[in-house]
Amino acid sequence: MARNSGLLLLAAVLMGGTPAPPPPADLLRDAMNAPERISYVGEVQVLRIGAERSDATIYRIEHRAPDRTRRWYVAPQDLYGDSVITRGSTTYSIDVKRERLVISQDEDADEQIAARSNFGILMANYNAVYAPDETVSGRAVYVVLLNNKYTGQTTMRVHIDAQTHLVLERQQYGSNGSLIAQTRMEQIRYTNAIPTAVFELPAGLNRVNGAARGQESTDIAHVISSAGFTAQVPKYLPEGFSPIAGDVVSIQDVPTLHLIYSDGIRTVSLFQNEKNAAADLSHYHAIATTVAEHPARYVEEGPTTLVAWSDGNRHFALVGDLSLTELEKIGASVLP
Amino acid sequence: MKSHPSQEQLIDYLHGELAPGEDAAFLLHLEGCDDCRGRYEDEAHLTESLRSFARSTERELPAGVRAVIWSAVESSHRELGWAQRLAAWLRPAVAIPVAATLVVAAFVGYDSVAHRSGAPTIDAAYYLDDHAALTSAVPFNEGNTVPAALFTTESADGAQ
Repeated sequence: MARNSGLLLLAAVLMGGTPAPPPPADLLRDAMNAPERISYVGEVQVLRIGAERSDATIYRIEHRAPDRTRRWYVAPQDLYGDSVITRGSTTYSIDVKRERLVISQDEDADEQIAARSNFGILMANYNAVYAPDETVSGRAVYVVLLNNKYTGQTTMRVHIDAQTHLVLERQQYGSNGSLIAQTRMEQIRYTNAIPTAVFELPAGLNRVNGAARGQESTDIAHVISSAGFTAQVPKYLPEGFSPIAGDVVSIQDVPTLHLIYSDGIRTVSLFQNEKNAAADLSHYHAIATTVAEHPARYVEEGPTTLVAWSDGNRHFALVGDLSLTELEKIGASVLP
Repeated sequence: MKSHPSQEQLIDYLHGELAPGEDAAFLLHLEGCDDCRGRYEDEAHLTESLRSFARSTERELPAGVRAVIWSAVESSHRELGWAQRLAAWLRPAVAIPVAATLVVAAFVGYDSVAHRSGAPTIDAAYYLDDHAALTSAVPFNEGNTVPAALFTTESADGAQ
């Protein structure tokens, strides 16, 4: 009898059927943690679409659960041959052209706690509903739509492997409904036979320390008080947004406060300093605008927009995947 | 127009140079006077013949003559006094675009001035990178697809 049931299940899978899906929120939570228990290799295609410019990145990925990952960049051409190895909280960027190994340490021990907390914010602001099942890279997937509770718009579409619950594809949409980002896994193969050598560091490269980052904290009040100056915060945020983290970092001896706000999918960062250190936009195509009648400039990197301005005492930069109008509105509300 | 028009009036009519009242009176006269209409047609035919001849014999000025003329024009520009040149620059058609350009240049050049004055600046790449790094804790957000350390420019390193 048990043998017959197994054959029936096998037949259902072979005929393209998928197991009955769990509640979408449970599936999303499980999908978030899937890389901790699933090992795989594949190719990831990342597309970030902006109004002026779009970027595509393709890399081979080898992931051994729970926390070892190597990404080999195939495109764009500038990155071809480079790779990134992540071992726990340490990231090694292998820069072949400059023959160096850049080591970055993620000091944030609370990332799992933060992720769980942010999942709560996500579920508070979005309705998760199923769309018809599809296939990605030959795998049957559940498709979950995350619809914003305030606008009703679908902000993200997540394709989750029906068997392993690994996210194989996701699309993010802007406020006008246009696609702004897509990540898709191709040629996925689940395997536990990934040699340790894949995650070993190459010899003969100059080892340098990566960019210093502040200790990220979810205690926003503590972060603001440690800035060393009277911080300003936005009085307006889009519906559902709340502060989720922050840090204070010294950039060229300039203490800079970074506060990050999110609704669980979309994020906005506010940077500020009072050392008259303006944002250097000389590497970008900057366009003039205004924030609360202050002259400002903005740049677009794919779907991400950065707006920089000064109120005469402090320099601010606002970064996020929101529209320029929305960012200017947030910026105008940044007051003592 | 009771009397017949003179030859001068006829030529002026042909070239549209009569006053409106005179022109209307001439036309009225032509419609009722076969002699004057004949004179008019002869004159018109002669005029058209002369124009055709002029067009058929039209020639480009020799290159040497044109060069001399342009040289004279340019030297007359160079000989303008400073007051005349200033007056020429202050014409609205020139002054307004120049003023607009200066305003834009002053605005766009803010960073350059800040650099020269020794004020610190923070590379925007750092902001973009730090934003991406700290969003990695947001569910289904990949964070940095490409670490700043692999950028081919030195911009991201410059923020350290």
